[in-house]
Amino acid sequence: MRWALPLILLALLLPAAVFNFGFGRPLPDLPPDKTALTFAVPSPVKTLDPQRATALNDFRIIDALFEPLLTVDPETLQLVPGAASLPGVSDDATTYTFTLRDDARWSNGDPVTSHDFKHAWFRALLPDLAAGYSGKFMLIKGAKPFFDWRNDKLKELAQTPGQGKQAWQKTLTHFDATVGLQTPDDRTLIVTLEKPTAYFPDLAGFGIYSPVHAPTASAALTVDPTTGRVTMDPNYFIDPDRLISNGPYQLTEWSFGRRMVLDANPHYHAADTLGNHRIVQHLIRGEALSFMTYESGEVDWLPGLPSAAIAAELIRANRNDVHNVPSAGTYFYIFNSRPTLSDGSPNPLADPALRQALARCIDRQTLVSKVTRMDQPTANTFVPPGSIAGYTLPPEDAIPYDPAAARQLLRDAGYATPGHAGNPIPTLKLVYNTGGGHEGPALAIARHWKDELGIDVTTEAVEWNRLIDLRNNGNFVIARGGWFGDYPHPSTFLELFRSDDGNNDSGYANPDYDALLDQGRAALDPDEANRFYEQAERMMLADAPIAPIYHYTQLHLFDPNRVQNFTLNAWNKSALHRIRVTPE
Amino acid sequence: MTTLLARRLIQLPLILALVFVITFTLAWAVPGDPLRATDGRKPQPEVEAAMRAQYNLDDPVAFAFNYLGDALTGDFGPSLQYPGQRVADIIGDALPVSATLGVTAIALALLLGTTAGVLGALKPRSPLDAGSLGVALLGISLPSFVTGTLLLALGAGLARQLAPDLTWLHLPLGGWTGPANLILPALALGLAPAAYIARLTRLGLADVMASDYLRTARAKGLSNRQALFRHALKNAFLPVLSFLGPATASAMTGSFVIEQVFNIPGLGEHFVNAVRNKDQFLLLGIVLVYAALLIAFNLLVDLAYAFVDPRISLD
Repeated sequence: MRWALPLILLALLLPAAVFNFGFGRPLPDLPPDKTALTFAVPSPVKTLDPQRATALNDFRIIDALFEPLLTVDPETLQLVPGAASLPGVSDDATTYTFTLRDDARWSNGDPVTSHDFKHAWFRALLPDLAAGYSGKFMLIKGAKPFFDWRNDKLKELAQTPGQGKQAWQKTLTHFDATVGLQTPDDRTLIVTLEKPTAYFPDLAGFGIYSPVHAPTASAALTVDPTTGRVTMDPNYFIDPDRLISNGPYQLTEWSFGRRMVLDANPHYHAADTLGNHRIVQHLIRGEALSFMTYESGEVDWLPGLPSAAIAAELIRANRNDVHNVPSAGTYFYIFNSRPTLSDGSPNPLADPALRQALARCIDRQTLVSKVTRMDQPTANTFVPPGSIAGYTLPPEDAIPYDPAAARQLLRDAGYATPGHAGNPIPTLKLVYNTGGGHEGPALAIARHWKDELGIDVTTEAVEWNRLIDLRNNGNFVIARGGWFGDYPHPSTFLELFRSDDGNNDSGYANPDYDALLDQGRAALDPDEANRFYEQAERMMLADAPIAPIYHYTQLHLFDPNRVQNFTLNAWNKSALHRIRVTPE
Repeated sequence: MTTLLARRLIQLPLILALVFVITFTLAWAVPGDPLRATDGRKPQPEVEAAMRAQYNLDDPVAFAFNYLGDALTGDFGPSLQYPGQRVADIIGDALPVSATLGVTAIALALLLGTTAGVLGALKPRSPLDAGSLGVALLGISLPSFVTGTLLLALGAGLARQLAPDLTWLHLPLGGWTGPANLILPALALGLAPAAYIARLTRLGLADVMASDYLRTARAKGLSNRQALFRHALKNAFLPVLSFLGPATASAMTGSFVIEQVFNIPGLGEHFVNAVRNKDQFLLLGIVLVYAALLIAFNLLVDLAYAFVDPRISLD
């Protein structure tokens, strides 16, 4: 049995080697702390760089680590002082003056200065470091020209290598000279905007406008000697020993793909109001497991159960730890509203009457109670009602469910309807993405359109990336869509339908609508602004570039007797530092 | 044997280069945009162009050359999905985890599979034989998310519900802290290969047991069992060995489903998500690692072949 011996040896040695290898990086010891806020998320945090983040998951942590100029109160959803007091605004809504608190501190004790904000926003406007939300900084005066200027510089540098360092010095001076960000002293920040924009304070309270610790963050930048491009040492936002934060928490541990731990920032100006002193975020990939872990008491809070199956059952069970809360987002079908399709053929939905009829023939109530079974609030408008204080669209402007009215609309426009002759309506195609439970609603709605309006609708399921490509290229007739607002202001929803907005997949182009958006943007008085936005939404809904279906909800699991002072709102402004966790 | 080793070592970089070219082309052709937000929101065109320039994504040739240059020094680039995390770090953290799970699963599969196969061959057409072949069929047919979730619910969940105070009985709820975390996922991952190995062993043995030299051995006085262990097994083992090579490489680079179900920080999810999100850096890194592992394991299998059956010439 000479061949058995080496096999046996292998059988014993290999696992020993692999065991040490596989468990060689254990998680640091964490003493059990029943007052820590422990929760689980299904996917890893992508980045903690406030100017690079786009995902909700990431902002949840960034909002805990960094404090922008202003913050959103989770209960009133109003802007309140953050690192600065509410700004002084010029009469024409183009100049904002922020005064920083004198007790605002970084986690290393340094005072928070206006230069920290300026450097952070500078990073967003550099093509070398630009990221998904950089566009949201371009309303600052001189920002877009600076971005283009630097782009041209980079092209020059690519032709004549070796000029990198000089070009960088020039870039810094050029930014100071041309971009509307002044720091007359350490505690004052004056922002000048390109156009009057009354909602700039909302942006100032949004995570991407957070500051970074300028001395260390700028030291982490390197100029490439050949290309002249600037890169940032990514380790800065990963290493707890390097990352300096000014919010309620600081980063203690980030075991990528496993666990993240935040501890209270001792220098935070409101450190004594913290409800908890430690946040532990686990990564639990499978939903069955995350639910079991929650039930076993190992996590206090589960922010969102993706699985519709478990979620629907939980909503129906009478449990006091299930919180099904509205979310500031809408699920809708996009109607291609251009005169022609991307291949040049005529677009059957170019006629608003047909779009209006389709939008009025969706039985939303049955959909949310019997098909999705999540009881989402039905959507007859685009902006979720009640999500923005002071903004209300009158009920007569909402899109109703009225098949009879829909048929009448079609008849009036000369189309054939069941039992009446007229111009035939071509077969329409509805595309949606796989893997999100979109098939049920799609089939139900297509069937209903056939039954009530006599319109043939074929459905096609495509992979998510393919759906996005089709939408971006206008290569669709009807496509599944969705949109979440970033902050409690109507512009975050309604700007989507501006004729030149990059995410306006419907191709809706209405100069009158754009004009109303501009007026809303410039109106300093919130009530006046809201009236303009309401008119805009009314106009858009009447033209029906979309058929709103339901407003999103978020499902949270936590025991309100144990996890206290947790105000859930539609905007994911969770204010984690206020939450108090009491041991059993 | 040395000629075989030399030949394989020369082939290794050539095969990897071919794999790189094919994967690179496919990764470039796949729809998707790693720089797009998860909800599909697009940045402005100038910003998007600037982001692509940061990673050389607008110039495939420059990308390829920069990538190869860096890869030779061990730098596989940044991950596009997780800005700030290096691909080498991600793979460096995840590969040992998947490897440990994979090797344990295969070891378990080998143990269970050969035992079942041998028992079946010793007592052909007995209830034991039929039973183990039946379980083998179940193992091959059930998808891994079913076996995984079942094991999780029964092994971890049920124990907690029925005996909440006997904490020593509670298997961990997923995660990766110590050897106890290996039990359920290794079982789930190893069940299907165990089934294949059981069938291969059983059928191979049945074949060999009926051959002439076995008849001679038994005529010379060896019992059935002695004949099996002393002569038949090592010859019937060859098909299992062929199967083991690719099976181990595959198990070691992570099973997406098992790692999802048991929350194991392995390579499987990165493999799938890299394709889904068109994270070209991560994708290339993982594919090259997988290719290298596969080549290494196939070489090991070939060497083992010669060892098990001296008649096989490797040259």
